[in-house]
Amino acid sequence: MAEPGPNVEDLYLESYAFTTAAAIVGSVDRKIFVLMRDGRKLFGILRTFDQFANLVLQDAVERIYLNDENDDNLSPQRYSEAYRGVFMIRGENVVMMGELDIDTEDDHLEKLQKIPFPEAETELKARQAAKIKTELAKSKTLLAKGLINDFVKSDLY
Amino acid sequence: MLFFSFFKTLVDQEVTVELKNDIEIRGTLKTVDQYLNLKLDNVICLNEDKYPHMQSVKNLFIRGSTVRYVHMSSNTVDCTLLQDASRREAMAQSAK
Amino acid sequence: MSFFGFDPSVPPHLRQQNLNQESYDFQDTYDGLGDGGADDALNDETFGATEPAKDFAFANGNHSQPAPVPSQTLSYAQAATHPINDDEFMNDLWGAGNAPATQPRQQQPPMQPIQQRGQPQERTVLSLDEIEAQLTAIDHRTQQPHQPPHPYMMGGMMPPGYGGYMMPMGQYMPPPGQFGYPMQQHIPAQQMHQQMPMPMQGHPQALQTQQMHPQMPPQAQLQQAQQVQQVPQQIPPQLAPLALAPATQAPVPQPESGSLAGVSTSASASASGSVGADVSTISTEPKDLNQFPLLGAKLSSKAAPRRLSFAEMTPEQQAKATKRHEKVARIMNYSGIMNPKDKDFVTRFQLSQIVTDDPYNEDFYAQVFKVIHPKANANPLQQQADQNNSIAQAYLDQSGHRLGGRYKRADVALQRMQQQIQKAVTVAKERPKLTQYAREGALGKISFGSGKKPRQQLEILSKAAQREKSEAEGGVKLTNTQLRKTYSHKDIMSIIETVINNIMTIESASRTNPDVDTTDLWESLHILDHPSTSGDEESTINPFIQALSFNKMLKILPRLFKFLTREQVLTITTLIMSNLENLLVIKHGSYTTYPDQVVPSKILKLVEHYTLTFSKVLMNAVQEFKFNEIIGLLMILIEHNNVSFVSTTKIGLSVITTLLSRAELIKGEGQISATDLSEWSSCYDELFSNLESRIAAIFPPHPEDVDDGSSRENYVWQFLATLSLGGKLSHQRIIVDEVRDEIFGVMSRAKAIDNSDLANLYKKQNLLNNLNMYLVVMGLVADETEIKELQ
Repeated sequence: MAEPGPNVEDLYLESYAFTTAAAIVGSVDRKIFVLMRDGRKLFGILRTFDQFANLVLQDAVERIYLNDENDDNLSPQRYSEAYRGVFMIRGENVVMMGELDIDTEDDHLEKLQKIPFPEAETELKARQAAKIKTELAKSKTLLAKGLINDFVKSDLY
Repeated sequence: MLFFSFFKTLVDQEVTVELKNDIEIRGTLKTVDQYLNLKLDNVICLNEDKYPHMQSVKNLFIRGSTVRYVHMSSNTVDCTLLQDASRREAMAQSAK
Repeated sequence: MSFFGFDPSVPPHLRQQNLNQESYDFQDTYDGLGDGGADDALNDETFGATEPAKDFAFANGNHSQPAPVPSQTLSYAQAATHPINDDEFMNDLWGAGNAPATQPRQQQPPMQPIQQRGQPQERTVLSLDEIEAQLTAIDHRTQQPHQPPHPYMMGGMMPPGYGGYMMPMGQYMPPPGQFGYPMQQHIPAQQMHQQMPMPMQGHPQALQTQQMHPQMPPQAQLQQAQQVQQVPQQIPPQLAPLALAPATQAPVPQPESGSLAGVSTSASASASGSVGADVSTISTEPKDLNQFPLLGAKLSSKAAPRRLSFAEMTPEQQAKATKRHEKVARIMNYSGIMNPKDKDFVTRFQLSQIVTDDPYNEDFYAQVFKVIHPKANANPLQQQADQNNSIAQAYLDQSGHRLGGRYKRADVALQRMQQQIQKAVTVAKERPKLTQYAREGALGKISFGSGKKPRQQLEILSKAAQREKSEAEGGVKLTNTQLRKTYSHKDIMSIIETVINNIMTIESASRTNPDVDTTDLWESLHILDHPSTSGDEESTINPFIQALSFNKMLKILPRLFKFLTREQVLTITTLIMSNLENLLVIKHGSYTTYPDQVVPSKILKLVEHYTLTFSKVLMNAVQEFKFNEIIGLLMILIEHNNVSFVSTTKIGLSVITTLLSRAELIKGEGQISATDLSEWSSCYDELFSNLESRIAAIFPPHPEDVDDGSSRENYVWQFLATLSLGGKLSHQRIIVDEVRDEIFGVMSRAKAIDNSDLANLYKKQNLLNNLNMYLVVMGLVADETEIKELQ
């Protein structure tokens, strides 16, 4: 059994490693990738964050990946990019974020075809709308059987 | 705080995190916070075809609420202790 | 809903007031931004155009000496109560360039930038050797003048440790010749330092930077331009040749910021490994040297081959390198916007949220896990030190306070963190407990859960617990009306849970006070409130006995018995003796009740658990019993149970063995009164007459396959040995007579194992050892062919 230590502060000292800040702080001033709840993928330099994990990205680029079959389980064939500049992200909308290797981050793009952003955006929106429609229908059917479909309209990641 | 405490003991272990959107990520757990946000190092995305941009991601901060499962090796868990800890938690909760 | 459960303790208007208070709160320790509301000058800090500190000097010249570092002799508590120390620490750790905004402003007159340019001339010029000599004599006082004007921090743009964006070896992009005149590599450092600013003035690179960041506000652009001008001044002499020398070789036009990035990159090249969140890494010495930009000799030698290789690059590689270079440049630009103080602030905020009244209990699993499964490191003290060191190191790494990573630094960082934690704890404790709805500062929807107490999704009311409660309230009536109380499965489960909860409560109480009140625990066992004996209907059996059918009750037995008195243990044992046949392991544990003479695996598993828990606990308990108590227990066993049936079960037989062997042990001590002895012999006779003519039945059927003879029958021979030991010669004869077939059976099975079969030889030995354990009692010994008298 653990004996209560002489100093509770030591315990909190250990806790330092177990804070959100400790997890994120190492990524400051690094190129990162952020996946957001609405499905957006942003690539930019993390400049600062706060205790809610609100993030500020600089030179942010939004990228859309599309595959030709409209099947999310297949690898994409096309992509598109839009420059977003300084981008502030509210923490609650983050699904995940990770540091990028700037030497290899663009490698996978060479195999993909680049298309204009408005085109990609339109296509993505249409797909998402379709997805929402099917999911809502599914929710309805499940609900009739007393089951719940764990789907939220804003979660499109 | 039970699961926070639990995940703390998994630090430096290899885990596989499955997100609600079916992405599976394997990596070394580096830190966890009270919201069960996870930070993994040396990540590999197990369905990288689907997410080609994950290839160049070195480490990952994952928001706790988007996690569906965390797979871990069974020998990293002390079941008896976990049972005790769960009971404590339940006692503490009911005492409130 | 706020992602991280913002729980600010003080409303904004109060925060402002707090600045004037004596006591610490976040704002007191966060003077970097706390007073910024009204002060435009804050932009300097935000946009990285901080004025260079006037004491920027590599030579320890006549500039103002920064305040001495509060050394380790100062206790944490003292340090925490010294508001001034705070900033001194900052200076020491992070350099004046990143010290709180208030300090440079106080120290530096508004004319500072102009003065700055002139300053190099005022300095005492030291040779490289002298500088190195100073640097190697590491000690807080000498170190400090060099550390604060950390070149990467000065412009507010380059935090150290740019591990992630290293130039790969051989791809090094030589900084361009932006200084307009050729440089020789071994130009004296100070000389160059003085020359540098001149050609820089009005240099077009400043414009270039502006174009790169069109979104910056005009003021920031201006500062950006200033910054670009100032930075070259800050390049440490040892690094400057690096940055400038390539001009002679590869005059490729490049944005200037890029060249700076290149310098910084190479400077921290070897630091790359540790920059991440690797908590456990402690910097190694060589890395430290390279992080320490002033020890530059090493760096130049490293950089030389890279520079050469650029000329050899293919155009493709060059394009790639150029692209990379640009990326690095963009990252470098504005880096350090979030300064160490900001990082501290966020961290401290979160630390204060973890603070609770009972940190050990809330972190029970991790704390106990750490004790039960310690890492390989044997010495706990060393471990503690390592841990603290690595935490401090991680703190240095992650918050960008990288100034060499020396161990002394780690000490200071640790000290500093401890201070911070003290403050965080104090603040958290003083913070009024706000309700969820009163979450001040939260935008939008308010969360109903928090990290500590997540929103409850399901509420399951335990009906068994409820009934238990209602029965406890009307309990007296119930037992009066009902002759026999019955227990459902759920009742038993809830009783077990209560027992376990009580044990845990007592365990945690006993850690602080060994004298704990165990009344609740004892009552929750329900030992006395419901008598029952073997053969009663299952649901009316005493709940404690019923509970013994469950693995989790068995598991908790050793912990339970620790807290019981001798009398309580005796009471429980008595209850068990009178209920032996009610135990599942005995009720269903005899091969005789099954047509195929095989006990089901489910019961066998339970038997296995019994041997690991129950039998051990019982054996320990029996050690404490007196002779007449043993006799009493045996009598109760005989009276309430069918002994010959009980003896055909593994657990039953081992219970009898335990009691018999304890009795023999006490007899052996030789202080038994005559009456006790006669009582014992009548008790033994009673037992024996119950067993007689059925002794052979205690052997379970022999398995078909090769018998390893080890544990399967071990307990049977143990019993026979104990029984023979207690009996007279007549008893022993009867036993031998009854188990004769078994004795010869073992011998023939032993013989069947070929002596040349080395792999199975141990089985033969086991078989004979078991047999001899019994035979030795009668002075005999057997081998595979014959039984002889023991020599």
